[in-house]
Amino acid sequence: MKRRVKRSRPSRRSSVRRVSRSHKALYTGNHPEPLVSVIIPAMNEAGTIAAAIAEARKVHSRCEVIVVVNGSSDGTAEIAASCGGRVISYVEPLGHDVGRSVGAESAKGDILLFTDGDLVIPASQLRPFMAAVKGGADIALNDYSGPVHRSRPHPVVLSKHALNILLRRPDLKGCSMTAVPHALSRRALDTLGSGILSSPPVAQAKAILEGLKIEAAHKVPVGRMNVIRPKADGTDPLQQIIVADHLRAISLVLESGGERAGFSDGTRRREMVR
Amino acid sequence: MRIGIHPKSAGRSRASASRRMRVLHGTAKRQKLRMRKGPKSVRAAGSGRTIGRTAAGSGLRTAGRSSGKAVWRPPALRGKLSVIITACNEETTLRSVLKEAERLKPEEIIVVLNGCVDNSFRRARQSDKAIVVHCPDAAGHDVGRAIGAKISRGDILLFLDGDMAIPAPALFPFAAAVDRGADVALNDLNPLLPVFGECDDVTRCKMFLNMALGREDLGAGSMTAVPHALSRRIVDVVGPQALSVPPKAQAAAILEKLHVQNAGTVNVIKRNRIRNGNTGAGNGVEQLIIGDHAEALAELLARGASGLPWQENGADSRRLLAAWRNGI
Repeated sequence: MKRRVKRSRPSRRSSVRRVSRSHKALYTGNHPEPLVSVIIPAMNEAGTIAAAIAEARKVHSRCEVIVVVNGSSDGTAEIAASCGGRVISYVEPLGHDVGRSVGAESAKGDILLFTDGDLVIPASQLRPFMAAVKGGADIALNDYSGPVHRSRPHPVVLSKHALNILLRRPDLKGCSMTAVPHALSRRALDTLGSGILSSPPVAQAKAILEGLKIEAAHKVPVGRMNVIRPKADGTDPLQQIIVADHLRAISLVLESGGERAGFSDGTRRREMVR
Repeated sequence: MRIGIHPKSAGRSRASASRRMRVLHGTAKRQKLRMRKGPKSVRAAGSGRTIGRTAAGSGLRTAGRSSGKAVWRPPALRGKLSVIITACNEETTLRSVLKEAERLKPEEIIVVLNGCVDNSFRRARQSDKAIVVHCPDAAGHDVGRAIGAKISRGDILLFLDGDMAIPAPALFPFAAAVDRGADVALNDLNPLLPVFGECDDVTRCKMFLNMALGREDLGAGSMTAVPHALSRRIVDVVGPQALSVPPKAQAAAILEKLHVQNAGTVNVIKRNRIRNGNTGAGNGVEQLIIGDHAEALAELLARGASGLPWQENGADSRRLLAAWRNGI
C-alpha cells in the first residue's frame, strides 16, 4: 500500500533542506545516460517533494529523477522542476498508481526505482533496491509485509499474502509491488510493459508467471510512516481497489495454471460422487 | 516416530486404544501424558492383551460415568440428524468416535471407510447403529464426506473425522445451529490461532477466501475443518459432489446467499493426528488445500462476484480514488 507522510518536525525538515542544497551544487539535473531512473508520482506533495527528489538523486551518480505530478494545485510541479527533476505534469488526477506507468514509459535507465512524493526515504534506504537489480534481480521488493502482529489481518495485508501463496512464492510473505520503494530491471519492464504497473498485484503475478527473478531486497517499514486517511462511510475505497487488484491478479494465476492454479488434487476420485 | 498411535503396531492392543481414548477426553495435562506414554503403549501391546483389555475397558466406563458423561442428554432437535464419519485407518479411535456420535441420538450414523487396511471396518461394525460404507481403494481427501452426504437422509448433517473423538456435548452446538436455520455451521478456530504473521499458509488462504466472499467475519472458519454441520438445503443447492472440495462448496454456499456461520470451537489443531504428508510447510495436504482455495476463488471469479465490495469500475474509479485521497 502506498504510504502517506508529511514531515512535521521543523528540525528534521531543516536538515533535509541542507542536504538538498549541497546536492544541487553537485548535480544540476538529470544525467543524460542514466543507469537508474527514479520515478516519483506526486499529487499535492509540495511539503515533501523537494526532499524526496534530493534523496532520490543521491542514489547513484548516473541518475535521472522523473516526477509525475498530477491533480496538484499546490505548486508541486514548480518545486520539482526547480529541484532539477524531469517533470511530467497532468492537471487532472491520473489515478492510483497510474503515475508509475507514466513514469516508467519515459524512463531511460537500466534500473527503475519507484518511490512516492509523499515519502522522504533516505538514499541509503533506496540504494539496496538498486543494488539488488544490479546483482541480477528483475524485481526488488520492499521486504515489508505490513502489520502482521494481530490475529485478524488488514484485508490488504491478507490479499498480498494470499496472492504470493497462490503464486507458489509463500517465502515472499506480504511483500508486494503495491508497496514502495521497489525496483525493476529493464528486462522486467520490457516483459511486463509499462501499462500493467498501474495494477501492481497484476504486475507481480505476471512477473512470477513469466519467470522473472523477484525477491524481497531490503526492508523499509513504510507502514510506520503511514497516516490514517479518513474513510468515506466506513469503507475504504483504497482497500477495495487493492483487493480488487489482487483478485484480478489471482484470475491471471488461474488462467495460466488452471482452476487449481497448478496445485495437486491428491488422490481424489471425484467421479465417485455425482 | 509415532509408534504409539500407528494403526498397525498399537492396534493389536485395546489397552493402547483406550489409553488414547482417555487422553482424547482428557485435559491439556493429559495431552502431555500422551506424548510420554506414546512408546509405552507399544510395549503394553507386547506385554499382554487380556490384561490390557479388561483393565482398560472397565476403567474407561467408570471414568466416563464419574465425569458425568452418561448424564448428558442431547436437547431435542426439530430436524433429523445424520452423523457422517469419515475414516482412514482409524481403528484406535473409531470406536470412541462412534460412541460420542451415538450419544447425540442421531437418526443415522454413516461411516465412510476410505481406503482402510486396518481393523477400522470391524470397529465400525461394532456399532449397531452405523451404516458402514467401505471403499477399499482410497477415494481421496474429502470425497468420503461427499459419499456420506449423498446417501444420508437427515435434515442436519454433522461431519466428523474418525481420527479424533470429540465429546458429544461439544458436537451438539453444530447440529443445533443448523437446526436453528444455519446452512453451514463451522468450527470456529479463530480463538486458537496465533497472530497473522505466524499463521500457516492454509489458514491465510481460508481467511482470504472468506474476505473475498465478503465474509471477513468468519475469519479462518472453513468447511475444510471438522466438525461442521450442514443443512439438507445446502446439499440440495450445491450438490453432494461439491463437498469433495470443501472450500469451493463454502464459496458456493455464500454466493448462493445461504446462511454460513461459526457455531462452536473445538480444538482440532492440537488433537489432529500426525500422519505422513500433513506435517511441515509445503506438505501434500497443504498443497491440496491451497489448490482447493484456488478452485473456490475460480468459482467466485467465474460468477463475476456481483454484490461483493470488490468491484472494479475501470480507470475512472482509480482516478476518483486518487482525487478522494487528496481531498480534491
